[in-house]
Amino acid sequence: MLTRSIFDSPLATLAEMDRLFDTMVGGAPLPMPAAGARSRVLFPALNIYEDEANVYAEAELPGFSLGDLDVSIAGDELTIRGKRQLNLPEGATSLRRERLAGEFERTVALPVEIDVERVEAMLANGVLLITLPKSRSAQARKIEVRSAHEAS
Amino acid sequence: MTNTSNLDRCQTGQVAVRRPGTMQARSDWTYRPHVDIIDADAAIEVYADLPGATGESIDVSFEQGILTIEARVQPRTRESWHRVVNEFGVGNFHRRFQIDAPVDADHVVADYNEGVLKVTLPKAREAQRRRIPVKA
Repeated sequence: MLTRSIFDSPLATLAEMDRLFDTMVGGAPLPMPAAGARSRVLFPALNIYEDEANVYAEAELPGFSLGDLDVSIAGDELTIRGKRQLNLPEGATSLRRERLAGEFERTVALPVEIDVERVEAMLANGVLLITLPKSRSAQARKIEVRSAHEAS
Repeated sequence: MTNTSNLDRCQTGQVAVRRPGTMQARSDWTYRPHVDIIDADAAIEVYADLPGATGESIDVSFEQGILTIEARVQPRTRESWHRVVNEFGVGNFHRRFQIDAPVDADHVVADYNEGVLKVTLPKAREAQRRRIPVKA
């Protein structure tokens, strides 16, 4: 664990006020999955939504630049890769380290078939939003059910 | 809120450091951002991950040794979107630290870029390390 309590610091320059959620503090480098193994910590966390036309995948990736992010689709799987370097300036001392750094890769199965050609990804203020248009066949799967009265 | 009127309009760039005052009411959920704190000799630097905020939605204050970071984050989803997977919540950010090192409070600066807030708290002169040459 790289997180060091600020109270351990010989300088003891800082003391955190808000201790309510201190148990949640647990900064660590991003786990780089070993070859063939899946990362145990799922990063980034994903929120996935859909409407009639699209599937939307959203991830919080603050400080990750566009050039270091890679979004790809293979079959029904969406993969997001990226990295963030957090280098300590020369002569500086780290007093608290919670932000994740390193490389990550995450793959999720998508709920429907996607029109890969029209996928768009946007990064704004550290939030990545991937818009995945559903393929025609996936949209056509929605079958309207009518009552027997209407049908007869 | 005259205190925040001079906050930068851009999504990136300088964030004004607020003078003592109050913050307007926030929405329901508040999250605790991950931070790194660095002692860079001449200054204490605080980096906070605040994804989804904007320069104008961030409020930084330094008062009596206490650094407060707050950010209002607007919902990003549309009503027509149905949730399929939900692994993280979206809401405001809040965190406070007591900075014991003497800080030059008039020269605290903050800027926000790519979802990361950087607050630079210059140490007061007397707190800066002085290198004393040792004669042989």
